[in-house]
This record gives sequence, C-alpha cells and structure tokens, in this order.
Amino acid sequence: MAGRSPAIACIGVIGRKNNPLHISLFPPGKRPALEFSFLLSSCLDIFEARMPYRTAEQDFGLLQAVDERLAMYGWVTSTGVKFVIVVDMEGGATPSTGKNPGAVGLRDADLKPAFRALQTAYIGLLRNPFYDPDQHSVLPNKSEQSFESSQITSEKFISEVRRIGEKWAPGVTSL
Amino acid sequence: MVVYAFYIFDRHTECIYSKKWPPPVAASTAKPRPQSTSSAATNGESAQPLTRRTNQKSDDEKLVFGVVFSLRNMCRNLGGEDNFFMNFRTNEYKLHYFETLTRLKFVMLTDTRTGNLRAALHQIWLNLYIEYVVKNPLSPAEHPGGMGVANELFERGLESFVREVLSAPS
Amino acid sequence: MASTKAARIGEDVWKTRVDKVNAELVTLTYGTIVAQLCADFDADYAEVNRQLDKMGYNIGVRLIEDFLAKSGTAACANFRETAEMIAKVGFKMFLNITPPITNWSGDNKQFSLIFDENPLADFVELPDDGRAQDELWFSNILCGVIRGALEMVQLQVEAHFVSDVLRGNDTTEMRISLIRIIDDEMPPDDE
Repeated sequence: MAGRSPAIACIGVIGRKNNPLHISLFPPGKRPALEFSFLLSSCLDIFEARMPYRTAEQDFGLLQAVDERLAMYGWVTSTGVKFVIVVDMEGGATPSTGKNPGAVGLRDADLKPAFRALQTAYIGLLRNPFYDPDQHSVLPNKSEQSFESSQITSEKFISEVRRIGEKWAPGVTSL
Repeated sequence: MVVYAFYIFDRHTECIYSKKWPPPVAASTAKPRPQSTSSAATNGESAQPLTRRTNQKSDDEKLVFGVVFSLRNMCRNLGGEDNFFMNFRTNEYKLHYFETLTRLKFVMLTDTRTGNLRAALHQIWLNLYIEYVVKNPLSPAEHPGGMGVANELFERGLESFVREVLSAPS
Repeated sequence: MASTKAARIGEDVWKTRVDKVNAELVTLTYGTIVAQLCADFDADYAEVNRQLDKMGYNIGVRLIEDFLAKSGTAACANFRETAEMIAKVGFKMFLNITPPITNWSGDNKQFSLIFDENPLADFVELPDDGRAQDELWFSNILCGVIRGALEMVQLQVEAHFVSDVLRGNDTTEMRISLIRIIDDEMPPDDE
C-alpha cells in the first residue's frame, strides 16, 4: 500500500451548539456511518479544550490521529460553526504522475483550501433566505426525529461538500 | 420677481398641494372683495368669513386646474401629443406650467416680469417632490386630499427655494 | 435605433446618477421578506405571490418618478419603445441587468423579458415541500413594480412570470401584456 495517497474520508459540519448539521462520507456508502459519527462526537471535547487558547486563526489544524490511517482536522468559524475533515492516509488512488507525497504526514496547510471552500459553501447556504439557521440548532436531547430533521437538506450545499471531498488531494491549492 | 402661489395637481385631477404667498403690500392691486372690507374689527371676524375664505381657496384650485387642463388639452389637440404650453400671462400675473409623464402638474403664479420658470418647476419636482414626498416611505403613494405632500421637509425646501432662488433680486 | 439609444441612456444613468448599494444586502433583504411572507401565510404561496405583487405595485408607483427624473426620458411613442425603456433603462438603473426582450405578439401588445441573471434570486433554493416549486414565483415583486410604474404613465398592463430557473425551468421569463392606455382623468363635474 506504499503508493496510496491521502484522501478525505469524511466531512462533518457541526453547529455552534454542537449539533450535527451534516456528515458526508467518501466514498459514499463504503464507510460505516455510525463509526464516523462517533469520531466526530469525540472531537468535540478537543474543540472545547482548545477553545480558550484559540487565536483569530480559524484553523485548528490536526485535532487527533485516530489510528495509522485516519487523522482529524478541524476549523471553527468565529460564529462557532465547526468543520471537521477526517483524512484517510491511504484512501486515495496512487498518483499516476508527479512526485509521490510519500509517507510523510500531511501539513495543516494542505487542508486549508478544503476548509475555505467548505466555509464558502456554508456562507452560500446561509444566503438562501429559506434556510433558517435556528431551525437547525435543535438540541439533540429531543426526540430522534427532530435530531434527524435538523440536518442540512440543501441539495446545493450537499453536492458542494461532495465535490470538495472528492476533489481534494494533498497539494491542491484551490477548490 | 414675486411668487404669488404654487399648486400641485395629481393624475386624479386633485390638488394635492397649494401654497400662497402674501402679495407685497405695494403691489396689491387685487380687486376689492366684500369680506376684506370688514376685516378691520377683530371681533367682527366670525366663523363665516373664515369658511368663506377656505371655500375660496379650493375654488381657486379648481379654477387654476380648469384653466391649465383646458389649455393643455387645447395645445395637444392643436399641436400634437408632444405640444405643451409653458406659461401664459395676463396684465396682472404670469402662470407657469410643468407636467411630468405621470401627469403630475406643477403650477406657479408669479408677477409678469418673471422669465420662464419651467426649469424651476422641474427642479421642484426633482429635488423636492421626489426626494421628500415620493421617497418618503411613510407618505402614501397616492395623495388623496393632499395627504403626505405637505410634510416639513418639503415645505421648508419649497419655502427656501422660493425665497432664495426665485425671489432673489436679479 | 431606439434600442441602442435606450441602452446608452441606461448605461449613462447607471454610471453617473445612481447610488449603489451592496448586492448581498438587497438579495438578503428581499429573500428575508419572501421567506417571512411564506412563514406568515403558512406557505400559502398563491397568497405570497399576491402580496409580493402588491408590494411591488406600491414600489412601482413611486419608483417611476425617480426613473423619469433620473433618465430624463420623454414619452414613449409606442409599446415597443416602452419595452426597450423597461429592459435597458429601468432594469439597468435599479438592478444593473438588461433582460433581453423576446416573443412579441403579432399585435405588439405582449412581450417577454428573459432574466438570465436575477440579483433578487442569487443563492435561493425554494423550500423543499413539494409545492413551492410549483406555486411560488419568488421574484413576483418585479411584476408588481412594472404594473405600478406603467400605470402611472397611463399604461395598464398585466405582468406575470411564466417560468423561473428556481423552479427548475431553463429560463426565467416574465410576460407583460398591454391591456389598455388609460385616458386622462377629467375633473369632476361640480356646481
């Protein structure tokens, strides 16, 4: 597996009340949804712990390495919306051309374009007048149904997240 | 020049604004009116002359409208759709006229030595009426009974325009 | 001939005589109004369309004065010229777009405006309730504006959207039909 390159395995969007807004898995259907849902929940504590020390910088960098393959990166907007990207170090196909990124770990900067694109997509979502952010901040202690319905349903946003997840690769500078 | 009166009529032929300036004492050559003679005694000013005076005010408006309306239609009939009159004068006064495409009619009465005031009426429409009446979201879009036209900004703007621009000694 | 003249006036007014305002502010303000109307009328979209048209009408009867003052245009000779004015001067002035005019009817009394871009609807996705896509005309306020504005210059028109990209149509098209030319009102016969 030496030639495999890193790829995004999961993108999670978490509201400012730590309510899950959206989870996309890559490739879709091939990964256990529940497991990633747990992973996203587990990183909330890390956000919480680091929050007092945050700077103006929205990029939280590496949150945690789950195992040899999965690593989680975080980004928090000033309004408290969290984007989490889980990278699978061996999830991508072997790059056919160019230099091999090799087994060297990712730099935090590698994920910046992805986070920026995510934030842009989220802003686009907020600009849709029919999207009501309050409606999506239901506390998860309510019934299971409302928990589900608080997910983002915008087709445009979901497909944009999908595009970002699929297109990102180490070294990509803009998405 | 001296401004005597100013009127605005809307497309429903209604007078939505009128204002009269008291004529300068020396220039007052108006025909004697019955009620003006009895105004010397303060006690004598009962409610009757007052109501008669307001009647007279709206009568003036109707007369002025009738004149400009007929004259305007006559011009259009004789000279085509784009033909309009700008002013006319009698030996006593000069009447200036400006009409917008929305059929707002601006009329101003001045002394006879005044030049053409069409541009001035255009200015009033542009800088006072549109800015302070049309663009005031709290004023109604139509002005039945002159509602919303005579607001403070418009009145003050008109007053200073007449005083400083039109009545300035030339 | 008249067409290029109208386009020139539009450009000129837009460049020199119009105060600009941030587009996002306009888009968000309008979007919020529509969303709020949908909420207030319990997603009765026919009623929302009516309300938007009414609001537009009230804007139109005022906006026309500003339009005439800024553009300094004279009366239109015919309805075709009016269409040019609306598309190339009016929309240019207030939204910085010039929707193409198409589909003239044989009697020159009906035409369509095609909105390739629509600043009011940027970023909008209609509610996914299965009805909004068929019933709500998101930009319906524009119909009211045109109806109100033209009424003030003695043209009674009917305006409605026939398609909208927000609904999944290929284009956004508004149909405008001249109903009649309003006669000048006569003073009431009194005394």
